[in-house]
Parts: sequence; structure tokens; C-alpha cells
Amino acid sequence: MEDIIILDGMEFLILDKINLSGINFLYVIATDGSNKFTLLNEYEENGKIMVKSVTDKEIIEEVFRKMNERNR
Amino acid sequence: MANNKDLDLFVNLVNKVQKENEEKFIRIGETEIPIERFTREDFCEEEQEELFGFPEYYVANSQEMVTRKSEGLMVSDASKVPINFGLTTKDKLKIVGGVVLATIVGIGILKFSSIRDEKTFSGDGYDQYTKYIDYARENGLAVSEEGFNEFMGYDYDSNTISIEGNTKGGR
Repeated sequence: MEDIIILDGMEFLILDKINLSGINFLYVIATDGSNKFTLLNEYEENGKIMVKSVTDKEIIEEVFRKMNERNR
Repeated sequence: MANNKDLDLFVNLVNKVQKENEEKFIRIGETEIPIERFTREDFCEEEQEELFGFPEYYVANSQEMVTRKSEGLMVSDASKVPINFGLTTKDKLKIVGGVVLATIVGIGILKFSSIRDEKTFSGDGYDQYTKYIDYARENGLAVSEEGFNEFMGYDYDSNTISIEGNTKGGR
């Protein structure tokens, strides 16, 4: 499985992936030793798979809650 | 980046971060310094957590998804920063060497076992015992040590079996 994703030239490790309501979310963390992490929303645009960070706090909390429930 | 003296001062001030109208600042005497004037690197990890929140949520703008397979990268826990655990060439050689050695030892053990078995069960003694078993079965005789000893009393030269006074052809 491809487990490294490149964001803005930086490498992030994909720690978890979940599909909620047909939307893929990726929980990724930086591999450079910094404390950066983000939750990505995967979507399709012009035939390409795109990602962008989720910025809605409620969605972030909901996704992580679902991930924790599933991983329990 | 703040110098050491400043950092010492900031360490003492971490607990004195004021919060007013959702804005954080450090008050030094009559001076209020907004937190935004400082960067995360100005503070140690514990202070960063206190002042800026931990961990840092990175906001990636919309971009094409580019992935690759990691090589030797392991994460011990999802809540921790990943640990680089790449194997060096020396490590790989050690592992390969260990596998080869184990294989050689394993093969040696197997061969030794089979050789030992062959010594135990091959040769004249083994052949004769199996011949006795076959003979006993064919003649409805119970297999016994006494029976085997009698069976072994056959004439080697003529290769005949003499049991109970009867002479039978050898096999």
C-alpha cells in the first residue's frame, strides 16, 4: 500500500483512512520530526484525484471520532 | 529566533500568558507582547503546546494526490511522530547472513538425522528385520524378539531360513 503522501513538497505518512458518506478522509502526519498533522479530504476533479485539508472543526472532530470508534 | 536569555525569560512567563478577547500575549512589566510576534521555534516543545496548541494542524491547499510506498518507515503509535527505522546495508547483510547460517544449520540437522536413521535402519540388520516382519505376517505368526532371533538363525551361506526344523527359502 502507498503510505506516503506528498503535500506541498513535504512527505506525510498516512496513518489512517476512512470513508464516511462516500468521502475518503486521510489522517496524515509529517515525517520530518515536526508536529504537523492534518486530515485530508480526497475528491476527484477533472479526472484527477485531489486532496485538501479539512478546515471545518466539526467535520475534523467527527472524522476522528469515527476513526477512534472503528479502531477500538 | 530568540536567544537563550530571552528563552529563559519566556519559560518563566509561559504560565503568565494572558488571554483577553481571544488574543494571547505575554506581559513583561507594562509591555504586552502579542504571541503572534513569536514563532513556535522560540519556545521549547512544552511551551509550544501551551502557547500554540499541540500538535500543529497543517492546512494543505487543494492539490493533486501524489503518493508513494514508504521504505523502512515505521510508526510505533499513531499519536507519536513517526520514527525513521530504515535498515542500513550493514543491517541487511546481517539479516541475510543470519538467514543463510540458519538454513545451513537446518540442512545440517536434517542430513545428520537422516544419516543417523540410515545407520540405524539401513543395512543388513534393517533388511533382516523387515524380512522377518514380512515372514511373520505371511505365516500368521506373532512378531516377537524370540521369533526374530530364531529368524536370524538362518544359514547365511545358503541364504535359507531354518525355523522349527523347517528349511525355507530365503528372500
